[in-house]
Amino acid sequence: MDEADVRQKARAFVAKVDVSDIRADLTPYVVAVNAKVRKDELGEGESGYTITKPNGKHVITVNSLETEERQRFTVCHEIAHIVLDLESSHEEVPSWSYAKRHPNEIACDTFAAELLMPYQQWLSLVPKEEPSLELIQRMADSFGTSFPAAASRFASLSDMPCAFVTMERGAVRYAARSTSLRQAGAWISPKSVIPVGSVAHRLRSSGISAAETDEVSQDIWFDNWEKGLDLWELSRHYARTDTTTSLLWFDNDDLPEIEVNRFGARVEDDGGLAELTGQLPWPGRSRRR
Amino acid sequence: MSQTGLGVALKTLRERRTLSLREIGQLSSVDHAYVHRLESGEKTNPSPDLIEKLLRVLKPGERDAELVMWLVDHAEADTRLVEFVLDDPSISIDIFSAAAGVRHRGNVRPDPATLIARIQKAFEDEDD
Repeated sequence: MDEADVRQKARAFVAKVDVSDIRADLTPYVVAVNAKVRKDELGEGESGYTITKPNGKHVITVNSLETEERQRFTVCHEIAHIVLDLESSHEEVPSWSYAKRHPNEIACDTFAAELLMPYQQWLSLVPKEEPSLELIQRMADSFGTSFPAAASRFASLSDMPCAFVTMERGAVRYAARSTSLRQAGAWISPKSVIPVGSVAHRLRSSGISAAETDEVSQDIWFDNWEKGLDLWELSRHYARTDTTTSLLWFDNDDLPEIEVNRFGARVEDDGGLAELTGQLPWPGRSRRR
Repeated sequence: MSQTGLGVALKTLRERRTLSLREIGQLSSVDHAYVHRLESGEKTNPSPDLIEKLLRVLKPGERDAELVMWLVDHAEADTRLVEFVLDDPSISIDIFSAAAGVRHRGNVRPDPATLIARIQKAFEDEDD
């Protein structure tokens, strides 16, 4: 199941539910999956879990010690497990691990984002302006989600070339890209180190929680592109969890020029044949007498 | 490869009967090398007929027989939970299967005892 499938399934699910008040109350989603939500004080590192009873009722438990935003996300993440019928891994993942996240967890996070920030509502509310700390926080508050979740949503749905990167302990964990950036072939490698010269690197090096916006050379983040262009970077560092997030975007004028076919897919240069020089590549055959 | 819940269950039941691999192989007419591969997790998809042959020799109680049959179709079950439940006859198959099917969010996993207690509490609660 790839990201596009997950989003399609999530949007199909949302389409069947009355989401007019979803920003205040997730009950329509909970009822739609035959579930109920309980709150309980769980240990640190345990956000929630879902039990399915023999009668088919799902009981979603969330950690009441976590923020309201995180609890809401957890409810939607658990609904994703139910709708997508995905198990979770039995193994604990140490928070310092650079191991790739379990694919089911990524799928459920993607699904959860679609539920928390339904794309029609998001598009009708998001201002048509360049991102800023204020804009992202305003959207996060509107939808009852965390700043990183709102920034990621902004990147995924933005018309402008845009990406949102999550880094843990200085290594890239996940990146979400806008359609135009994906079509441009921009790529940020998972597990790559936080780029030296980036705002994110500077903030993390300071060791304190902070946020900053600046213009940086694009080759700091995208090494498969030509040099000399600039992009904007809005980064935020969370010292307690050693997590750094970056929202990256280009002005449309600054996007590297690429050739696309009528389907919007990038035309790859296949290299072609070397120019003929007239010089034969093989040695002359010696004639045996 | 890692061990499976089914492998853990078969090995535990066999050892309770103090049977060696060769003995269970002879008594059940199932190749002992194949039984070993089932127990080690190398093989994960035995036929119902083969499982029936093994259970006839192992003579588990009703719950443990149901447990084995359930595990044939759920290779992903947590082996620690299977071990815990095999040691506690009071845990029903419904409680076990609900525990094995719990979906978690976060880095931490509860220990089997905590997990079972949560299931029991959820089953006792009204559905409202």
